Amino acid sequence: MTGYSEFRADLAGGLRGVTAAFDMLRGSLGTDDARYASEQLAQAAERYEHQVAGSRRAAFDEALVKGEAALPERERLAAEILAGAVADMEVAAALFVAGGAVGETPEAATPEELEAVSRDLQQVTQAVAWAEPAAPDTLRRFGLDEVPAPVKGAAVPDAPTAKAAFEKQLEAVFKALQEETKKVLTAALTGVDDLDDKLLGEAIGMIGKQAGALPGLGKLVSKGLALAVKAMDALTELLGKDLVLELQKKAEELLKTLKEGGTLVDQFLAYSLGVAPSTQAIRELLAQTTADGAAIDSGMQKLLALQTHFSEQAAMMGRIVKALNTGKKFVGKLLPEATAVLLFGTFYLVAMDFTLLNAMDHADTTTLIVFVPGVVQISRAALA
Amino acid sequence: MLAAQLAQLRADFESLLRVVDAPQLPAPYGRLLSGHFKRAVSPLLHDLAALEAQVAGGNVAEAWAALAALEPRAQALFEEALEFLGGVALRELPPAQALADHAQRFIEGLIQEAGVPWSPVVILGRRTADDLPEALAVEEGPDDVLVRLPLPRWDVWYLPLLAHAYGFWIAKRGRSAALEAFVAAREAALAARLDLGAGACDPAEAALWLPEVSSLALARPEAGDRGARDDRERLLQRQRLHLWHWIADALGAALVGPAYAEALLFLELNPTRPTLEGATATAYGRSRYLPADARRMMLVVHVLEILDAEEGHGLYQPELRRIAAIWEGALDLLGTRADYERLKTALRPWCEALFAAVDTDFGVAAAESLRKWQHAQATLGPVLREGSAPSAPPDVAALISAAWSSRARHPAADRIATLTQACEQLLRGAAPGGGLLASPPTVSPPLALLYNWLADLETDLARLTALFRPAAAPFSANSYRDAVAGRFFRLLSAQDYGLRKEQGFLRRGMAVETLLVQVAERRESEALGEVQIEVLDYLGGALIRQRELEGAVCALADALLRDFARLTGVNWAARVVPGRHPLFSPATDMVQWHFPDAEIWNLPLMAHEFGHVAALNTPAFLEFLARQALTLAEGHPEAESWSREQRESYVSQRSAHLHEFFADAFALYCQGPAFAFDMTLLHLNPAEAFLPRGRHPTHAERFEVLLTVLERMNSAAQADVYAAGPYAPVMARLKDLWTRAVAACGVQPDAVATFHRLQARRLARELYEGLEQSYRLGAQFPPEAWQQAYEAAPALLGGTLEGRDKGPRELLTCAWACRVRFPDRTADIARWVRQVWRPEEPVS
Repeated sequence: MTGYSEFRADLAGGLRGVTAAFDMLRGSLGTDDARYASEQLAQAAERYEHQVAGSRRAAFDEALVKGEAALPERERLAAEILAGAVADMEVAAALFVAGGAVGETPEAATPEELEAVSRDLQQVTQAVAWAEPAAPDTLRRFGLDEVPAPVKGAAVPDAPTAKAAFEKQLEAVFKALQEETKKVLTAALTGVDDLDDKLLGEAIGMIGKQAGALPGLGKLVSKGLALAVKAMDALTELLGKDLVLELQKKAEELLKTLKEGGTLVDQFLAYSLGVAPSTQAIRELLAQTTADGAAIDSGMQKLLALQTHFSEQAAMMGRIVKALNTGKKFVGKLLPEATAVLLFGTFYLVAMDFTLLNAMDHADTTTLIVFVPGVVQISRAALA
Repeated sequence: MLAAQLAQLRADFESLLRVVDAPQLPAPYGRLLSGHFKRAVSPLLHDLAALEAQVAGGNVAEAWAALAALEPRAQALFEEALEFLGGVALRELPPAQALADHAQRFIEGLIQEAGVPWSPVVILGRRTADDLPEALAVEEGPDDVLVRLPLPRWDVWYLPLLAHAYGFWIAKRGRSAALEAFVAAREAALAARLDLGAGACDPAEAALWLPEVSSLALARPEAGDRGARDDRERLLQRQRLHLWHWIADALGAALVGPAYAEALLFLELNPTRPTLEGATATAYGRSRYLPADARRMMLVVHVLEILDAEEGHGLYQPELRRIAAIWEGALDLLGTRADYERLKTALRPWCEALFAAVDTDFGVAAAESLRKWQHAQATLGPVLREGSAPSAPPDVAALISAAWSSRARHPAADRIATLTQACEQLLRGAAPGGGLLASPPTVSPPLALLYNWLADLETDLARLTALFRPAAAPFSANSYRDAVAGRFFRLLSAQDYGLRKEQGFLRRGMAVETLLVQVAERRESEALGEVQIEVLDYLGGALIRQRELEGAVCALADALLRDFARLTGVNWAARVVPGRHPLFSPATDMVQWHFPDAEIWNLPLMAHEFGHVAALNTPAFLEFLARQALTLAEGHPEAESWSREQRESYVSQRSAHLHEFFADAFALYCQGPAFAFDMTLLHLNPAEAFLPRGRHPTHAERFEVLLTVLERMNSAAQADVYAAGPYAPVMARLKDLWTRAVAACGVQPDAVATFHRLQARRLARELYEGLEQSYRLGAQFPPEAWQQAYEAAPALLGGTLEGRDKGPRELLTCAWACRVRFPDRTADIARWVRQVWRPEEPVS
């Protein structure tokens, strides 16, 4: 059985090793020690992969065994797997930039890029290591977000005030779902915007499939790509290996909409998240409910927590997209064009799929993945 | 086949027990090793007997599967024994011997203070994760008196940590009523939680649990779930062991004082993973029973704090402040302090409760340790600082206290070396050569930790290297040491290179946190651990060989290999020592003989090992290998879907298989049917005939190669097309044995296995041609020899066969031919071989 603390310890331990080795390389660039330091970084990445692989596999196995397990359990497992994917991508980005620094890629890494990677690695390590304390029976989460928790509203004793606050929070959740999703999707779009359309179409067909053979590359870059492939495989597996066709279809639809841009994206997101019908239905519930102020307030707090949770996850996806941009910059030109597009195109599309479906899960408009009780479920429970 | 393999395993167990019971082993070890291994062998012998009963009952397929499961357990035990014997050998080195004596005296001092009798035995070995199964680990056993000094720490620094072993023994054997009550109460609370499950979990109790125990307690399994019931028992035992270790730390700190905390901090703990414990820890080579480093440190500091407050009036404060500054400073730098602080808050009440229990039974001893510590600082502190002569020969415990206190203040490598030397001189009764002289350098606390780690690593490497210098390895002949020295120097050079780089980075001002993580990895790296295993294996093997604990079978193997070298013209001064597997190592020029096998029956395997040497000296094979590498993947049923990496990995693995095929073909070609019978009867497993084995081919393929080569040897020796050929009965017998065994196990090849079997057949035909080209005149097995030996079998058993004029290869042929004909007379046959075979010593 995996547990929050064991997975966190594995991730943090592995990340610390990579961070230290990366900093060692940074400190030895331009000296005779650079070769040794780059070997140490490759070994640290290997150890990281080895250390995290076991607990990641255990998380998937547990998810498989649990099947229709209670939601908090599924939410924990999804959070662990997502955190692992983010950490993988951060390590991959570090390896790409390190590869750039030691001449493995045509693009040379600047001191600023090296410093930024070091900062990012430390941030992720600390986020993983310094998680909030929690009582043994409560669910615990990773702190990989960059989002401060929204200020908690004061306790609301009477029903009318609670209803007003609930309605306000309802609007805020949907606004956050739309805006955060759009932000990640738009960032991901910039990654695929310059890619050949025909090859990108082929990349859609590669979602859920094994990445093809990669040409012989430097040690650091190869390891970085292997980790990126693992991270994307983990995201795909988290969404569901049996949903490949749906994921491909969704990616195609998303890509088309995003490329058209303008208000179409907002309309698409509003439609996908069911903003209008859900808001309407919940407002009706709110008008009819006989629940007391405390119950409604409790529902409002849950919506607030849901919003925070989603913002955390969107921030994590943002990190993944940023790492993909780094990879594309340093490794993209190193690969034959078709391979680069198929590889990175597929990565971006998987990230887009995950972001959208995760938002829909939070809005309760999909049954493809169900990790959390979303807006509608929370509202119904509170206002019944 | 199955009966032969079960008999072989039984013989191995008996041989192991003979070795560890042998009078040739030094005095304290024979008794200890014998007890330890008798206990460890017992469950395996029990399973073996059950297996033999299964065979008698006709459950052949199940028995093969059970044997496959038993063999790795047996192998793990054999490897452990080899390491133990390596430790025994090490104890014969003068510095290690002296240290073991000091260790014994130190522990006797502890026993005297605590008043709980104990008769421990100090052994040198590798720092290992205690991985006995829970049910065995909680029982009383010979391991309880075992005190391990890790290789190559033969100096005073590790000695305080021996108190842990004593404390653990007191907790485990229930020699303190107060501590026993503490454990019982915790266990009752956990059992209640697991049994009742309902209601909120008591967070105070939960803070003591290992992660997997927490998971089970929080999961509240169904009462009828059998798997959960098994888990419950196992985890209750694991948690008990975990608590005993924690108690051991509390006792260690109370009885030894700050030196225990200092030794723990500098030698054992790792601030980069302070909360690692339980099942997860095993992946990092640690025991799943040990508390996390953060737990250990907070308890030890807590115990010393209370002792100091109650009895010492601030005496320990400077030491404790220094320890806290180093540990917490490192945690701060590494971003792991929050975990420590959280645990500290959660565990404070337990630390207090545990101290109260320790104080109840050992309060007087703890107070006495405080006074002794003060006295040691007053009398020996100046001696170490100034290098002056002591007024009286120092007590080991007092010297350790003073030395650790000085070391914590003077973290630079040269000061540590000076202190180590001074301690050695003082323990020998001499005055120290010089003091620390200068005032302590001002370094940040985490840097002090880093300095200590680097200094210890440097010392470890220097000591390991010295083992292979001409003046060392006292019990083994120079030729053995020289054969392996090069390999060890290479392994150690890689570690030394990295260490020097890290020292360079430190000098150039690289961030301490970066180097702490990097050096922590090196301290716990598998590479260093593997060097230690190899050293112990080598020393253990050499000791067994030198004391003839393997029944002199290695001398016979040496003679056989010399014979092959002469016949093939391959110039190779072979040395055979007992080891983990039958193995030829091109890196050491050594061949390993599988320990604890003391029988003659596996001697034909030496021909296979020599085959690996011959392969590297056979141009026809090397060309063949290069040619085949291009086409090995062609026709593979899955090749179409492979990526380039997969194809490369397949070809690399298959090339390794080709080496094995060559060695098998060579052994059969030169040693004759004895090798084929040895392989088939004693090593191939039909239940796993098609099981992929990584760098080794499947058993089905190996049998295919044997049969194909034998067919070719037979055809070549046929008088004409109508004659059956000299090997026809052998082929028929082997084929019958194997195909019936495979059929009985009900295993079927899939498409890949079929492809490999056919490919192996084709390759074997080509390998045979290569052997004909290179070795027909000289090394080829004489075609008539097997049949003659088969016919001479009754004479052998009747004592009328003359054997003294026969070479090693012929003797093995006689032995195996006789065994094939009279399978129940193996002991008589082996006795005959030993009587007539007198291997000459090689000309050095």
